[in-house]
Amino acid sequence: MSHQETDISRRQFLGQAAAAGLMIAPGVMLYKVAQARAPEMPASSSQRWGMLIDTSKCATGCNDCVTACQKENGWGGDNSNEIHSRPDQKAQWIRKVKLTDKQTGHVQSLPLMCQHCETPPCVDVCPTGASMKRADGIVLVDKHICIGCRYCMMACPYKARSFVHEELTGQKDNAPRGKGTVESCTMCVDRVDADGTPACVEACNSEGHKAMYFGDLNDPASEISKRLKDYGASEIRADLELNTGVRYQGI
Amino acid sequence: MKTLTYKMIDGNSSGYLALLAILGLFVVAGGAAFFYMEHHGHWVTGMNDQVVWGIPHVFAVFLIVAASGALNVASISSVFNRKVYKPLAPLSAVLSLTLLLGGLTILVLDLGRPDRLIVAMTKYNFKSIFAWNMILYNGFLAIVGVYVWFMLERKMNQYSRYAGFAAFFWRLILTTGTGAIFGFLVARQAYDVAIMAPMFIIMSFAYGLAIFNIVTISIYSWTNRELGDVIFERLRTLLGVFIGAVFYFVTVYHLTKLYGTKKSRRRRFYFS
Repeated sequence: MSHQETDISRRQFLGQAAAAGLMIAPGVMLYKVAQARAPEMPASSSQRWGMLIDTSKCATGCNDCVTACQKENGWGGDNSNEIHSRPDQKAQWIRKVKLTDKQTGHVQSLPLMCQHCETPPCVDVCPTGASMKRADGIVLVDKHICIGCRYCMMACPYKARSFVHEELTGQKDNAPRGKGTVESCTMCVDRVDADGTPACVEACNSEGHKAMYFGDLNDPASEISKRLKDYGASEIRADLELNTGVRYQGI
Repeated sequence: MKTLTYKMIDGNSSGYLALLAILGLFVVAGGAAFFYMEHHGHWVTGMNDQVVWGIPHVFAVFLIVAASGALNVASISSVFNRKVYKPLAPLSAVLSLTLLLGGLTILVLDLGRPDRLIVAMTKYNFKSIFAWNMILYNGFLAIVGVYVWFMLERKMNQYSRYAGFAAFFWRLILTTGTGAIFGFLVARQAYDVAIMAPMFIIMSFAYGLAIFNIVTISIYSWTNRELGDVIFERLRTLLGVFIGAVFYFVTVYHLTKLYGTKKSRRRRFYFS
C-alpha cells in the first residue's frame, strides 16, 4: 500500500461523504418545516396556543384590541349588523375590564376574552358537544351542531360567550355567525392555522403598546414561554383550576 | 271486591266546550309567541347575554319538576300500597306526562335553533348533565306511558306495581338531574351547591301535588262527583307537609349562601 493510494481513497471518501450530506440535507430541512403544521393536517397537542397580557402596559382608555377583533370577525362597533339587539344583547367577544383596588386605589385595565381553558366548563356542559376544545388548546363552537341552549354561557366563569339574538347579514368569511347560536373568541384560529397571530395581539403590537403576546406554550423557545418562565403570570379565577391558555401579568 | 269502573264523560256540555276553547286560546297564543320569536330572533325577549334564561325557563323547569311530583299519588298507590289512592293513580300519571310535555315544549321552542332538535337527540356529550336530562326526560315519557297502560288494562294490571317502582325511581333520578343542571355550575356561586338536587326533589313533591290537587278538585267539581272528605283531607295535609319541607330546604340553601357572603351586592341578590 503506497501513500498515493491512501490519499486518493481519502479524497474519494470525502467526496462521497459530501454527496451523502447533500442528499440528506433537504430531508433535514423538510423535517424542520414539517413541525410547523401543514394546513391539511389536524391540530396536534404538541402545540398549545396561549396568550400573555402585561397589564402594566395596558392603558385604561385604549380599545385597540377590541376594535381589531370587531374588524377581523365582523361583530359590534362599525359592523353594526346587530340592528335590533339591545346593548346587553349585542355580541362581545373581547372586552376591556377596569379593575380598581378598593383598598389602595390602584387602577388596572386588561382585555378579557375566552380564556381557552385546558378543562373548559363550557365544553363539559354542552349537551351536543358543539362547544369543543381543539387538540392545540383553542376552544371553539361548532356552528353546525350548536342548538343555542346557552348553557355554556351560564357555565363560563368569564362570561366570555355571546348569543346571536337576531338574523345577521354580511358576516365575514373567516367568522361564521348565525342567529340562535353561541359564539366567542376563537383566538383567530384561521390566522393561527396560517402561522399568523390573533388580530388583537397584532393590533396591540402594531400600535406599539406591547401589552399582548401570543405563542406556543409547549415550545420553551417561544417568546411567550420565555416571558412566562422569567416573570410568571396568573390566571383569572385561578381557584377554579382551569389551567387557562390566557395569562395575565400584574394582577 | 271493589272494582274500578271507567266511564267517559259526554264531552258535549257547554262548560266542557268553553274550557276547550279557553285552553285552545292559550295554545294559539303560545304558538304565536313561538313563531314571532323564531322569526325575529331572541332580541324580542327580555333575555340577554347576562341573563340567558328567563321567565320561559322558570316556567319550563317548574313544569318539569311538577311533572315529576304529579306522579306522587300514583307512586303512593303502587309503591307504598295505599289502596285508597288507586282510583286517582291513572290521573296522576297522565297529568305527569302532560306537565312534562309542557315543560319540554317550552325548553325546545326557546332554543336558539329549535330546528336542530334532531341534533340534540342524536349527538350526546355524556359529560353534560343537560344531555343526561334529555335521556331522562324521554325515558320518563316511555316508562310512565307503560305505567298508564298497565294501570288501565285489566290484563296487565297485575304488573302495574313494577312499572310504578320503575317510574318512582326514574323520577327521583330525573329530578336530581334537573337540580344538578344548576347545582353543577361551578362558576356561579349562587348555584354551585349540592342541596339543589334534594331541594328540587322536595319542590317536585309540593308543586306536583299542588297541581294534582287543583286538577282533581276541579274535575270532580265540574263532573258533579264527590271526592270525599277522607281523600280531600289527606291530600291537603300532605301538601302542607311538603310546603313546610320546601321552606326548610330553601331556608338552608339561602342561609348557606348568605353565610359566606360579605356585605356586597350578592347579599342583596339572595334577599331579593
